[in-house]
Order: sequence, then C-alpha cells, then structure tokens
Amino acid sequence: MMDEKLTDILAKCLDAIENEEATVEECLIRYSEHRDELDELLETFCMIQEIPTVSPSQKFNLIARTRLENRLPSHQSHVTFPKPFRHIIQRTFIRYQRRFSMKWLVSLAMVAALFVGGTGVAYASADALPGDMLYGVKSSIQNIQLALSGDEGDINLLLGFMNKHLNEVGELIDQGRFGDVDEGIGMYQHKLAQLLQTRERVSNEDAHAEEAITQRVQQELHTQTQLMQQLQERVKDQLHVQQKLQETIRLAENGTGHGPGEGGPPEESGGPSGAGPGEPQGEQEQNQNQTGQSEDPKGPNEDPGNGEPEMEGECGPWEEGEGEAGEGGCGPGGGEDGGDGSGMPGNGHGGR
Amino acid sequence: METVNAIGNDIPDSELIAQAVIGDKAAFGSLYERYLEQIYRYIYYRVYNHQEAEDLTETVFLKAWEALPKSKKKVKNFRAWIYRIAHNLVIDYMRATPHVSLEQEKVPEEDVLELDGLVEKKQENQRLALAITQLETPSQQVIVLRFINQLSHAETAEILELKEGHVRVLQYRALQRLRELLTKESINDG
Repeated sequence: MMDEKLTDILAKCLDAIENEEATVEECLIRYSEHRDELDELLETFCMIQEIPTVSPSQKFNLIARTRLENRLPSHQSHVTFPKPFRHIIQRTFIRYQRRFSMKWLVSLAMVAALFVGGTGVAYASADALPGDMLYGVKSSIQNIQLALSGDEGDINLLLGFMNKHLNEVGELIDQGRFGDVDEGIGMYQHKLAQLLQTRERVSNEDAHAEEAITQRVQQELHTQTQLMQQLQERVKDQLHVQQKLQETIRLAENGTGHGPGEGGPPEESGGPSGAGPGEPQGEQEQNQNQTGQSEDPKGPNEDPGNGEPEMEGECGPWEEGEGEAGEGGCGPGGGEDGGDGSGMPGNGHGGR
Repeated sequence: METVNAIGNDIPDSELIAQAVIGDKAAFGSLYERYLEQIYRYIYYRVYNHQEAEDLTETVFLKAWEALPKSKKKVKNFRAWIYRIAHNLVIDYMRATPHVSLEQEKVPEEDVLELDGLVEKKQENQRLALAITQLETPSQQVIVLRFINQLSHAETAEILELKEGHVRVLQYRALQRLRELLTKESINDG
C-alpha cells in the first residue's frame, strides 16, 4: 500500500520535473513525509538524465536510409523461387550443366521479355540474386540499359547498379548463400571497371564535367567501401568472402584515387565529435539526392514528438558546489556533453 | 495519438503507412528516419553493443516492411507497433546469444590519461548504462522509454500495452532496483 502511494507520488514528481513545473527540491518539500525515499529515486532519475544520448554511428546514419530502401524487397509477387523449389529444379534438370542451362533459361526469358511483349519476366527478375535463375535476365536488362544511355548516363547507371550488387551480396550473406557471393562481387567488380573506364573517357572529352564527375564517383565509391566494410563485419567466419570483399575494397579505393586511409570524405570512427543528433549530414543529403530517395532537408537524427528535454535547474540537490550545473540539467557538470565524457562506448554524438 | 513527421515534412504516420503498405519504399524510408534513433536507443540498452544495435535496428525495420502488407489489423500506431517488433527481435537475439559480453565495450585505455574528473564521469555513466542492461526486461523497457527516449507515462503504457498505473509501479520499482544495483556496485568498488 505504501509502495502504491509512493508510485503515484513519484510519478507526479517526475511529471512535474519533466514539465519544468517543479524542481527536485520543491518536490521533496511538497512530499516531505517521503523525503528520504523520494530523494534517492529522484537522484537516480537525474543520473539517468545525465547519460548522454546514444546514437547510431555517423557512418551508419550516412547510408542508413539508402541502404534500407535498397534492401527492402518488393511487396508484390515473390520474385525468386522458394528454396525447396529451386533445389528440386537444380537437382533434376541442371545438376551438371547449371551454367549452360541457365544460359538457355536466360535466353528464353529474354525472348519472352523482349519479343513476346510480356514484361512479367523482366519485372520478376528485378529482385533476383546471383545464383537465381532469373539473375541473368536482370543482368542482361542492365546491359541493355547501359547500351542505350550516353557516357554520363552510364556513370549514373553504373553507380546505381554497383549499389544494387552490394545489396545483393548483403542479401546473399543474410541468406547464408556464401557460394553465390562470388558472382555478386564479380558483378560489382565488373561494373567498377566499366565505371572507371567511362569516367576516364568522359574526363578526356569534357574537362568541365571532369571535376563534378570525379567528385561524385569518389563519394559514391567511398560510401560503397563503407558498405563493404560493414559486410565484412558480417562474414567474420567466412574467410573467402572476407578476402573477396577486401580485394574489392582495394579496387574501389584505387578508383577514388586514394589509397586506404588517404583523403576521401571524412571518416567517423565513433569517437567524440561535434555533430549533434540534429545536424544535417551533407554527404547524406547528397547521397539521398543522387538516388532520388529523399527530399528531407533534415538529417536522420531528429527525434520527433519527444522534443528536446530541457531540465534546467530541476535537480538542485545534487549540484552542490557546481555553480553552472543548474543550467545543464540534473547533477554536476550536466548539459554540455557533446560526446565527451559520455562513458558510453563508441558514442560519437552529442548529448541531449 | 498521431505522430507527425518532424523530418522534412508534415506527413503523418498514418499516411506514410498507407503508402508503405502498397509498396512505397520512400514512404517507409521516412518512417525509418523518424524512428531510427528511438529504436536504436531502445535496442542499445538491451544489448549494450553499438554494432549489434545498428544491425538489429535495421532488421526491425526490414521485418516491419515485410509484415506491413500481412498485418491483419491495420497498423494504427506505428510507434507502438515498431517498438513491439524491436522487443520481440531483441528477445530472439538474447535467446540466440545468451552470453552477451558486457565487457566488450569498456572505456578505452587511453581515456585513463584524461583528466580524472572526466574519466570518473565516463565511468559513472558507463556503470549506470550497464546497470540498466542488468534490470529485468519490464523495468529496462520502462527506464529506456520513459527516461532515455523521454516518452510520457501514457505513451509508454501504449507501447507496452499496459495501464498507466502499471507503468507507474514498474517505474518506481525500476528506479529502486537501479539504485540498489548502483549502491551495491559502489560498495564492491569501495
């Protein structure tokens, strides 16, 4: 019964403090009969308030939305064969001549897609992964798109395809299909080579476009390198895949004109930084604009609905001898933590 | 209670959900940006590992995307719904990895060279964060939702599908337990 009463009193005090209608001391005076216990509980509350906000790393935030949107499967039909069905087909028909058979299937699918007029196969191949029967269709469609576009269009297409290939690799890793990862990485490397050739050609032909294109390619390759590093983290027990990814990272880094660790967009290691949770990420905006997936002018770190709590001067009793602490929330030294002094592992973001 | 997008536009959740249900990935991307931080923090204090929290956060939204068209009941409160997915995913994760090392993210050695006060503050924050991860799940949820994610009693009750009175009791017990854990630890340290 005592507890029940105290729970309500505590809740009222917390509400009042959170809404800046009362300070801790005022609450303790108001409920002086429970002073001792309330004092301890409110002190604990204030300590929690002092923990700096933890946020995902800047590296994660930078590509989070693009990566998620690329990984979202279509809501329409299931585009790849369910595993049991695929296994039956493979065992029965294409056990020994898988590649050869796939070529036939791809050809048939292409005929269906291009000449019969049906777009169903082409559509169905959209989410196919390396190793899937329809992946060849997808690849052929990409080649047709490249053949139909100009050099600058090629660069945009290639960058988009490269992102897709990395997402495919991620999907394969998620599904544990490590045997098919090679093909996915190979596709990425092939497109990377095409990209670098195209970039060189465009740069030679148009000096004005060179700088913008180089910058764009560098940024995209940097983002893709980060993605590959994240993929590496997910395949720690797959040495072969790790090595393939490492090799590809090296190729991409060479493509940026910077070796590992040199230049490129700033790397965020999760250490203290001045970037508060609400700061727009310039690179992210560019990234999103390139993919046409976001027009949001603000960064991803907004915490809507909850507002930014301002706990000014609420928690006086634990601020003894700290003249400025009253402005910064609960307890001594609160309120100006911008990542420093967090004690939170890898938290590179500012406090609230 | 309808949340309005604070990121770039004023599209309410319900509208974004309606678009996402019919396959609009950009609409879902907006919801992701809106709730990414909250869900990340919620998960982080359960698993106490930044990398795992990032991966699990993304997985929560991938699962939500897959579940959206299949949801028999229309998703009326996206926030409550996504928190529940996060909760279930964390439970699955904890089951799969029962011995999550809470030691793996210690204050780096070089911090010892920093000013004593700063190190002390960091260690205090770390002790507190670690103590939160040691609470029973309901207490942990209430602490994170109420005091880390700054949700009201009513919002917390809605997410946890509890009555507000129950949340108040859990909140009281959670603070009490946290106090005990911290006191016990400081006695051990002393």
